[in-house]
Amino acid sequence: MDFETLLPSECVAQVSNIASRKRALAAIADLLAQRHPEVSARLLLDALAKREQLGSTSIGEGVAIPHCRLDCQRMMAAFLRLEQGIDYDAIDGQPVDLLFALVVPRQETRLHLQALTLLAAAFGDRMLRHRLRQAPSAQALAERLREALRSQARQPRP
Amino acid sequence: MKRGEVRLVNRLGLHARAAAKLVNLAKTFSSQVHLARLPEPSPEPGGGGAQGEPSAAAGAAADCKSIMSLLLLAAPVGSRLELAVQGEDEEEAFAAIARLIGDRFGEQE
Repeated sequence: MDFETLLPSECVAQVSNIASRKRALAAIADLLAQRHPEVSARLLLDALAKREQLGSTSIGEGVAIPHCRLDCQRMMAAFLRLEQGIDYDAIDGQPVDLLFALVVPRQETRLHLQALTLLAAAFGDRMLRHRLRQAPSAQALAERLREALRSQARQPRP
Repeated sequence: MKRGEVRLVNRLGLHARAAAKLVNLAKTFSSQVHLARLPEPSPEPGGGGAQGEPSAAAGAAADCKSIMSLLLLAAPVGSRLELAVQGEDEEEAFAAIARLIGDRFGEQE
């Protein structure tokens, strides 16, 4: 997996003025649509919001992985860090400030699982969460994230 | 300790929403609940994975009260899993969780 292509720096942002899950999803949809003009922000927001309605994509520790499956050619990702955590109906009740969004081609069931596993492994690391929260810039955020994903991707998995 | 094998039958495997449902159910019990991947049956005789293998054959166990932990299993449809439940309500917890997995987590396919 090429993480520069999956998560380009322009799809990584830190924002201060977002107070709801819906607004966070809209910001993610905008980031993705700017980079991938073949999909519209509206379509992305609808798909991400629909998935959240089925159940929060929070995975605990202030992290959420909003995601959806679309009829698209390749997997795309975006990352948002919020200055203040938002209510996310999280499984551990904690506010969410780290959101890694993933859009997966509809047929790619196995790739979808592998990507979720990679994210769980990366974000399960307390040190990475800390480093992301301390990152001084969006560029640093992007680099720290990609480095963590690359390192996790090298681990042997079942 | 109540221990037994379950198989993932929903098409998407143990994806995020299925894992969340499992966590929500497991949290309603006081018992500790763990799932581990079992090796797929080997085509060669005696190649490991024969019937009645000991639970030592299972991979790392995931805590069913943590989504992050469950997602690490990366378990696709068809996976064999060992469900291990320990605690006062282990019988009920085992039955309820095995039922959720067998019911495809309420998914249509």
